[in-house]
Amino acid sequence: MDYEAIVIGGGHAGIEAALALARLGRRTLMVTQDLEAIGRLSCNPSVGGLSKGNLVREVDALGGQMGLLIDASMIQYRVLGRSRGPAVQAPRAQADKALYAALARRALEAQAGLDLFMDTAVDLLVSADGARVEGVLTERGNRIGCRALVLTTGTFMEARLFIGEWSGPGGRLGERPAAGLGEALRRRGFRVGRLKTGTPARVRSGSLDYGEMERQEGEAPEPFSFLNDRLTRPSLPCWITYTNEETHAIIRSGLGRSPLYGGAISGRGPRYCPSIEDKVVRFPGRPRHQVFVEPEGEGTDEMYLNGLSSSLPEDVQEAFVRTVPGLRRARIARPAYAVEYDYLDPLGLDASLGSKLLGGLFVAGQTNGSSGYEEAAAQGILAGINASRFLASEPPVVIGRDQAYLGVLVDDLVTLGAEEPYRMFTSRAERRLSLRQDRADARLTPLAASLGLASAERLERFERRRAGIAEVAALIEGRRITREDVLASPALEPHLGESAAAALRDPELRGCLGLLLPGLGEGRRRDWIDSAELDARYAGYEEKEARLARRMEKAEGMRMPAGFDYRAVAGLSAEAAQKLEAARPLTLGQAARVGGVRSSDAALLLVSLLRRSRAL
Amino acid sequence: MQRSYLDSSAPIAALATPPGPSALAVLRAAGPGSIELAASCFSRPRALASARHRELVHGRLLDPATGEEIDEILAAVFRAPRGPIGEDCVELSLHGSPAVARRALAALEAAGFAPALPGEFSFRAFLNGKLDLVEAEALRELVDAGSEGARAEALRRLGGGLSARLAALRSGLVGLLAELEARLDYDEEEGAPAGLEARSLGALRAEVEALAASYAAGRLYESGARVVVAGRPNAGKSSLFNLLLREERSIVAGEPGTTRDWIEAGIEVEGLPIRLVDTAGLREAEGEAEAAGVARSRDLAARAEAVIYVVDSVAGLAPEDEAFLAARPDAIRAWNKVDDPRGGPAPEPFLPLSAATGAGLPALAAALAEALAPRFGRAAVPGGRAGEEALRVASSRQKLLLDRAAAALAAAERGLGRGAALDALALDLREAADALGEITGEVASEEVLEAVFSRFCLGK
Repeated sequence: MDYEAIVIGGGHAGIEAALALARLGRRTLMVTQDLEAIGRLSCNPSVGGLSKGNLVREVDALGGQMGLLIDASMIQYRVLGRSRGPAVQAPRAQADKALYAALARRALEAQAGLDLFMDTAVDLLVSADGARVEGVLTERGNRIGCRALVLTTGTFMEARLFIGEWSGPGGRLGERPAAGLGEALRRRGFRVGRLKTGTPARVRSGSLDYGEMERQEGEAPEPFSFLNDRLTRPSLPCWITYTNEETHAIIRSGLGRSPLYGGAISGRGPRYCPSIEDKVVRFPGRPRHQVFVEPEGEGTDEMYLNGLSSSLPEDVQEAFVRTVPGLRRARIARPAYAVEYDYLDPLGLDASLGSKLLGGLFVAGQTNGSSGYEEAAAQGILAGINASRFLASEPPVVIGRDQAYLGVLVDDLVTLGAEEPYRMFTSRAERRLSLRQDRADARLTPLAASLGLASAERLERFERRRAGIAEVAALIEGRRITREDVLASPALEPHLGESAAAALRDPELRGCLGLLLPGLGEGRRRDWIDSAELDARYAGYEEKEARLARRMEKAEGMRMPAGFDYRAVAGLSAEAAQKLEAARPLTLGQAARVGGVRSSDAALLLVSLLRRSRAL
Repeated sequence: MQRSYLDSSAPIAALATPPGPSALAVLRAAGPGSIELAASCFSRPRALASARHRELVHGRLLDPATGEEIDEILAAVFRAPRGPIGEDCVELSLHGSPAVARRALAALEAAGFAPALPGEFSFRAFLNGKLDLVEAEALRELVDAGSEGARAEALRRLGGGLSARLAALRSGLVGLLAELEARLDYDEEEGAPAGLEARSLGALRAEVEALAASYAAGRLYESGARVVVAGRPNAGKSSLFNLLLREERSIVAGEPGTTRDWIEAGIEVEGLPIRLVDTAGLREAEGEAEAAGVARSRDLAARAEAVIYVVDSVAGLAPEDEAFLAARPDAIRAWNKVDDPRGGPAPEPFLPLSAATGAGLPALAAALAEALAPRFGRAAVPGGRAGEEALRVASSRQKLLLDRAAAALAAAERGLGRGAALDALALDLREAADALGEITGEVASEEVLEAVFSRFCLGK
């Protein structure tokens, strides 16, 4: 056996999976079609955002790489959702794409126990009984053995690109697809489907009229990684402009030549990230759509036209782009295009991201029907962890929905499947107030420590931050509102005699901490104080949220035994049994959420589970 | 989706005997805290709450909202983990009239019991190790209940106008959640609309409150409107009472009041269920003074939804009549004994009536129905037939859920006014969705996202 573990793919899922495996001491090989393409940001030049920023922080808290990579390559930083409330706001950074990819490759190359190899996987090697994965077969006929395999093929499996009437094989513009693997997996009985996504054109910066656009500056950068205190990074502006009726008229006239509207693409695309033609068709009443012009990096003059994703023919693209103020003379360097690719139905996985069909096979990222760099990275690190635990015959790590967005993401994928590319949203989490990005370390670093993924430095910093927050929390709890306070600030009157924590829960008094504890900032880090303050402000809400979410928690957590025979459950409807056989849920809670399973079906399952446990 | 079987923490109640007239009816109420909850609608709450396992407690079942007595009952108490279900449990033995059973169940629901799902008692008994699986064949009921899980089916069962209003409410809530979630999941720069408007919250709350209010009418369908026949002795109250019983559709065959102060009967006038009360007779037999009798009538009349005041046309209007009518100006006035040639003509707005011959009864019945129509929310539930359908869903529990939703929406409105963050407000909206979800079906996050994408142009 050549390696303990193989990771196929060098994207954001593959990077985290490979690093986690190697860091856990597994001799690991990453097989990728192109070493130059490792860590490429295929679409938008940014990382983070609402709920996605939380995922980056969670990956970091688990000992992953993404936070460190974006910290070292960001060229603009902003906090999104500030007006929405502190529990959902999250960081987002524009990335220097080339730098990000270079740093990713460097991190892989520097990792002990990890080899990189340029080749294309075309099939899996499977044990004689068909139960376990034993390696990969590559395009050049290499047979590389392993006991655990992580599949992270992104948009490359049997992928085709579409621009207007033109279409050709490719996973990214100019990069060939991974041909053969999707077909091989189909033959082996995996449920393979097609999804679609798209990306806008890149234009030359020198051809733009910046005077016609609105300038958007960044904020002072803050680190994503809990390992960084402060960052010194450049801050480049982005630019805002708008489409107009002329743009829309050109787009409408070109619709007949679109592969999507013409029917050439069968895969379903994401509704939350619509192409400009989708926006024009679905919202005919809107006179304009916003366009963000974003730098692709410091070392290039390509600019990304965020908001103008399209698969219209190139002549139509050029015509409509040039109707937009600031872009009237724009020269397109790379056209917008759509890509259609194979993904594996994630219902074929359990909550460890391990395949139900083939022992030792783990799948992460867009191969599971998700979209987004952050979603991919989060699945990648979990798949890597569980591949390592599989190798050690240890029980898998399952992250709860109340523990991390990562838990929500994986549970949704493996119980609901993916009919369109799945993107993380805060509204998918029942406990979003408890999943604040600033608390990702408290939620996950203890787990990383127990797994052996937290470095000594991370543990030391974690402990210091934990103690710092606890100290501030004690000060807030211990500070009583006095008569003098009320005289100084009459708004405190209703809280006379209560603690500062009680006053903080009052939305009208959110600024009162500096008044009540003016010396708090001396010798303490700002992020400790902020986290402790938010903990106090949201304490009541979090309890209420927990209460609402707890309704069926007890039965929820009951494990469905592997190989449970749904057909043998008396009274269970045939439809429910069929759906459950397809989904193979790990817990009763997951079973109850599977589409087509009724409350009474879940009750029958519970009866059946209890009957088994009583019989034992 | 209805309440989940997996949620075994809810106190539940249901009729344990078959519906229909019988000597006795048994209501079973079980679940954590069920004994205390049942005590809250019992005339001797402490006796019931402190009863030992297998103790029988005698008392009266009361409507927890009005304190009105429903029936004289015997309550059998079982304490967890003993008893038939293995949970705290009270079995209430009632008189076997369907109307009484219905009102008793409504009282328990108003006290906080959820209506038990089909087979749920057996299911819990099994969970608590009280049934083996052979006995648990009764769980087949669960399977039969399965189709009830579908939201559309549940809504269809709710019937006509109400279901349309519930559906509107649900879509209003989904729209509001979508508006809020669009803001929480997308930044302004990604196309999310700016501030949330208190107006849209207020509009939804008003809708929920209006629906909750319409349930008061539904509740009236369940219990019947109380109509008191009042008047001086010998005005012909009993004759009118008997005439109405004879002539109008009797929905409960001469059900006597549970105390001996008055005589009560259930009738239906133009589709409206009425509990007709005759205040005549008994107290006179007991030799009470006439003044005391009038005072008693007045007291009963004050609590009635409508009053028919009968005056003997031969005796004419007396000062007592004037005094009563001044206190209850909305009373329907009957000028009785018009068949007697000695009587004077009916003064405005008296309706001429002969309780002896039945002359004038249709006009009186029409006046009664007209007076009661607003109470029954006739506009919302037109026609007697629709009224009967509404009767099935007009449970106090649903009203409580609507009240809970309205309160959560009001809390969100308040929070918005005080500058609370949207992420915190979302929690109040979720609570509202949760409460409504028990009536209209759970609002799934997928459904909200669907609404987000169809309403807003989002994403860079």
